[in-house]
Amino acid sequence: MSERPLRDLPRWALPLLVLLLAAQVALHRATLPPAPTGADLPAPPRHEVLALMSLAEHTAMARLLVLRLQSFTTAPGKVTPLASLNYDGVAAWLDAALRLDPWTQYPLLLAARVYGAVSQADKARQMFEYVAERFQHDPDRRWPWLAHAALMAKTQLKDLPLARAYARLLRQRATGAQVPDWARQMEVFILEHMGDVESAARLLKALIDGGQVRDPNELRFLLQRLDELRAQTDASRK
Amino acid sequence: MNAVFLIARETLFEAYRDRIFWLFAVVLLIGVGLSLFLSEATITETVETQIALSSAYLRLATVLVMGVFVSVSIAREANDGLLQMLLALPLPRAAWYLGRLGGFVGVGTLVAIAAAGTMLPWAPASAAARWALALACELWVVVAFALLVSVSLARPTAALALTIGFYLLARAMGALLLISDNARAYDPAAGESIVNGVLHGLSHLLPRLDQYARAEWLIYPDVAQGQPLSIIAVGSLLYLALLAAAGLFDLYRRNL
Repeated sequence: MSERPLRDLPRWALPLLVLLLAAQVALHRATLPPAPTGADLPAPPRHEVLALMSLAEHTAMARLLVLRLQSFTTAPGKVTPLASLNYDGVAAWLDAALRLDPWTQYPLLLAARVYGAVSQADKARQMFEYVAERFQHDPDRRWPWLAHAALMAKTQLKDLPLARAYARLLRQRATGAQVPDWARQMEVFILEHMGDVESAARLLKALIDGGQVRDPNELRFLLQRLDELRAQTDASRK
Repeated sequence: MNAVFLIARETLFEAYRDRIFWLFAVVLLIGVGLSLFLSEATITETVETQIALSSAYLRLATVLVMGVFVSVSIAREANDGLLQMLLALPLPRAAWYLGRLGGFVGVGTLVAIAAAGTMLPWAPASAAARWALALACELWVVVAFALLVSVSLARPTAALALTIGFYLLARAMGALLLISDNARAYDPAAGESIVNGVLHGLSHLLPRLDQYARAEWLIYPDVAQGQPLSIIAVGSLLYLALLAAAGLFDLYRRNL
């Protein structure tokens, strides 16, 4: 189809188009919602509603839920401290994702390594309790997160009885062939009062060297955490 | 039989001429690109997230494009007077209808195979094959329904709206029943409500599309069970035959 040249347009047409486009951009900028804060974390929709919204694609919806949860602390141009989040809400979001996709490990990784890594002991403890409870639903697949919780209870919370309780739970429930020996021997290490940060570094290194972490993003994340732990170890030696 | 085959082949050529396959290529690229972008925000399970999001997107996108293709194709044929001309020929009406249906089913099958092909770099081939066959079954049901309403209503907008509504209802029926049954569980005194009864009745008339082509088949092929493929295939063929019979019933009653 041939087109007429621009000069054949009415004189007002182009300015009107530009003006309306500018008005649209201005309106959009003026009505941008404020970035969410930790306190804004709402309760997730009910499972039935999520199932309906997902049109039975539960796995995809579970992934979107965890990404949405992550976005509450990483809004554009603003980083919200994790500790400012309402952790009952966090647990509800993680649970909603886990209920939709019981095979995914993502919510447990977030609970153990991200939301459990805050400096507020009560919030970290809440996340580790969450991990310990959900571990029992599928021990042979979810053992890495309880192992991490046990180490963090020991090194971060300095709560040796809690760490031992988690390690014992791990030894008793995670009995599958895929669970490595070192995970089942953690209780011994904790009982022997070995170095705290060094143990955490050892667990991470064993996870990485064992080839169980194949996801590139997770590997990068763990290597970064390993470097941090080693730096802490070096600093304490000096 | 020859006429059915010729009409089906012409439908495939029509899809080629309308650049439907190019459109699907763009749809596939957008899906893969979008899932790659979103999976970059993940801390773990990057590939799994990518598969889950792109497969969910592809199911919806392919169904939508196939629905539009069928509605527009039938409307164009009617507007051009081609349908009236064909029906006036010494050719059984069933030949035209089944030929068109066969052509649309063929396009849907090719689209499902292409969609599953994009999963192959990340998912096991056997899982991708299972997903492809289930998606093909889903598209067969959708094109058969779209053909039925497009021919019956002769209004492309209404036909497309009905097709989308039918698809969404069939996909959401499992969750709707869950909500309805849960509401009764919370309030047993309410007894059997009309809505609950209607929903259960309606569910018997719809295919269980919520059980088709699920992302977990691709991500957890060893543990995710779901509906056996044989049940899905038999159920789809049965529903396809039902929709074709309904379409032929309406077509044979129509005066030119």
